[in-house]
Amino acid sequence: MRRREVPLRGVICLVILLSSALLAHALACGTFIRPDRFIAELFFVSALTYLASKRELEGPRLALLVLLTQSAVHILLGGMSMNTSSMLISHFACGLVSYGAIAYGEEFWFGLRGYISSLISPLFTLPLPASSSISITSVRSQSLFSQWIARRAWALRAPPVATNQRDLQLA
Amino acid sequence: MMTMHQSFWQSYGSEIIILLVGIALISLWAAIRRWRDK
Repeated sequence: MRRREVPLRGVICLVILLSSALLAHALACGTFIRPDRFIAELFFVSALTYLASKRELEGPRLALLVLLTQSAVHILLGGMSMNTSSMLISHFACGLVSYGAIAYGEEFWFGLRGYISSLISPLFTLPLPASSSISITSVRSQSLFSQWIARRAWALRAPPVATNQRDLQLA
Repeated sequence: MMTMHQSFWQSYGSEIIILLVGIALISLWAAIRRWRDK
């Protein structure tokens, strides 16, 4: 279970980091010089994410990963074109968003799941009538009954008796 | 005529400085956290 969770978390981080960096570059009207450099970019960011995710991704470690990813996309894919203040702001804003998405994403989705399940669960429960009561006496009596059955003669009987000569020889 | 050194810094200087400033700020943050957690 644990082995499946860690790569999935890493892949989600990788997708968030790469997509935010590409979006930031595109939003600031940056050009992508060569599409084949995307493979090099993918390897670079994958290696960074793999190395960084050996321990929990949070705080300065995650911030460094975001900074290096944003820089790598701008340098490798964009070829350092369009070095404007809008490009800087765009990369900075998308970096902050990706940091928040990775750092607080799991809490957000778990919280959302809990909220939705708290909204939905009353629809699938049957309210008990006020007069009904659950007593443990029925459970107790059932338990005593099963004990009584177990102690009867048929519960304590021996294995079937061998009736013919062949069965005796096999035994 | 610009030398190769000048051309490099004119092209990539701002990115390198931003990257170094970012790394320095993150290092400072990590150091403060480590000092606070002691």
